[in-house]
Amino acid sequence: MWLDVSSPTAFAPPRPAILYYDPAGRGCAGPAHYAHPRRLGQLSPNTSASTELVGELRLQTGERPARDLDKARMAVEISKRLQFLKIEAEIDCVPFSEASLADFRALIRETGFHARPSLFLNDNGNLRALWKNDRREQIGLQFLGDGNIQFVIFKQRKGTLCMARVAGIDAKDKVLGHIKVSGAEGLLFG
Amino acid sequence: MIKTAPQKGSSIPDDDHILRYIRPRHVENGIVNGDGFLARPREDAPSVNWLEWFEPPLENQVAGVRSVTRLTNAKLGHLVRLNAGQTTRYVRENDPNGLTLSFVHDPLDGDGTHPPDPSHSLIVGVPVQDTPEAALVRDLIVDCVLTPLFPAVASIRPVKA
Repeated sequence: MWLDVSSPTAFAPPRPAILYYDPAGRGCAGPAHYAHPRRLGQLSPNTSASTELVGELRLQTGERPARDLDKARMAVEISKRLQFLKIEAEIDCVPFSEASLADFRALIRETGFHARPSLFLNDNGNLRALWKNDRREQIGLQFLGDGNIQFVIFKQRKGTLCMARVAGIDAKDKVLGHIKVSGAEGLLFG
Repeated sequence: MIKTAPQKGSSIPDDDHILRYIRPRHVENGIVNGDGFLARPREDAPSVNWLEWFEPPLENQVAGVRSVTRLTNAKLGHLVRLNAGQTTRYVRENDPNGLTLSFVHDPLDGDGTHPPDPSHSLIVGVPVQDTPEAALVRDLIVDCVLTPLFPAVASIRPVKA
């Protein structure tokens, strides 16, 4: 999910999000499909809808809308941050690379990451996205344009305090491969 | 006590600290971008301020750095603190080329518009922006950032990283 920075009003929250705020899942004023969570159809005919099961159903139907809502929120935050960075670029008299932005957008579309990165604007006008956790593990991606990404990955080796560090420049799909191989993709998906 | 200005080029003691001004586009929610530690255009080496030039407590030292800055600090910019010895060791031990950084005094004389700044210092050895060497080193330096980060302009509360 991506929002066009130049037209924030185009944003509309995803429909399933409404279900999240309607635990009963019925009797709401919205379109008919809101009132019929898909999971209900998967019950076997002889299963009685005990309170416990209904509770479970609510949770299951609520999970996806909650995730969609988080993604929508993240998209709004990223959009705001990008606007802020564009203003800062003007103030600092540094360029803002549209090619870099296009690569960042493409990465969002293709990976659908759940975790919100910190976003920075380097002096050369390129965007840099940084996912970092408390253990100092990180994925840092600078979008160089033309589908090339400079990556810096810090990942603690399993069962040790040793930190593996990888850095380089590669094409976008290959960088995703580096992230996977290093076992750091958890940083992207929260 | 009257202090004498440090000698240009002499090393900052390992136990001492520096502050580096980080622009708003290099910091978000307490997370710092390593590029903020690379030399800015027209800088030979990243400029910093030696914190121990000013009298403790820490808040007073930070205020001292704010008072001598020659940059126009942005309201949303931050002053970020490093320990000289720990940063030097950490980068040397973890950079594949064993890069050795040096924190050195570079006191500035006063001019028509600015007072003297005896706390001005440099981080020598930091690679130039957009080089392969810089990619890793900048993030190693960020690993050494001490919390909290301080607002570059007074009267804004410190940020816990």
